[in-house]
Amino acid sequence: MEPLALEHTWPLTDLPGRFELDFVLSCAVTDITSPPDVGELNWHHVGCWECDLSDNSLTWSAGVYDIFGLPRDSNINREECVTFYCEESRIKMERLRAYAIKHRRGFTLDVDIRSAVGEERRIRLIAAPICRDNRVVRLHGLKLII
Amino acid sequence: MTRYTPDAKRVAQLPLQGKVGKIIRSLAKSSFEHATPVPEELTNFAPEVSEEALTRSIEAWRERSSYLPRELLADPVWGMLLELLQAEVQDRRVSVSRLCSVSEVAPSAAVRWLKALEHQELAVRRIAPQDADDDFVELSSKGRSALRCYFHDVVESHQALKAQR
Repeated sequence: MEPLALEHTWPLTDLPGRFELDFVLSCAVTDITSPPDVGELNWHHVGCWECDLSDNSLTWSAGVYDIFGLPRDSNINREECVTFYCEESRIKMERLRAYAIKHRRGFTLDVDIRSAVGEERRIRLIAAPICRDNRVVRLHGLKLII
Repeated sequence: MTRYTPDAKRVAQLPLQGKVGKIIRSLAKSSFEHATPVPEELTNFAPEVSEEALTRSIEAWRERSSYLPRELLADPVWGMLLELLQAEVQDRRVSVSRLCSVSEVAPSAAVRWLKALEHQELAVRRIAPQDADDDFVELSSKGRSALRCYFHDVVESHQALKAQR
């Protein structure tokens, strides 16, 4: 596999503007509207997420459940979530995630997933660390269909 | 709805809607920070750099032309940045003329690259009080932070990993 280009990561000084406001607002709208059926995409196909690194627990907005084709009340842990990624995308994501946690940087990466309803989807993953005392304690960001 | 945790214990917290609302507000605040100054600890985060690692990097940069044709290796900006960082670590000033000479390109090209560094806000030109003909150049806070983070995150961590083997 080719080395992952470092331009996918960005310093936290670049954080302003990385989470585009229209995507963020779309997460809120998606949260209060429902797609016709599980696995179908709302017209706002974007969600926000957070991962608590103390136990890798996940918090997803409704849009992320829709993107992965899961019912909005389903329980999912991180181990289960990464199985939706295509292998090459999963490897890239894990490398960038580890780099982001180690070096306190954000990252943007386009990945391929196979949703729970069997549909292949290409999504943009935007992630930034939340630091406390110079240590990364959580990751948060957006997932959107591209 | 509560947050799912790997050991299946249900944590009594905010309802999911409240938790998601907090995430959305945090992301929105980040997107609004265009209009507010980035926290100082982020712009001025500039870890210590060992002079030894820096000297080795400068030597490695210069030694390339011992192995490969010099005309293919023009990398004046990197040479300038290394010189500026070394000057900062050694607490000395770098004149414009000195900076142009270490870049190993023609003076006219070096001046253009110096302007590019200033345009990117990585370096700042200062007026030399004693010598009106030769200003000096130093790293900006942005340039200092970027270079020191690079050395801390990439160069020194690779060297530490190599030392462990």
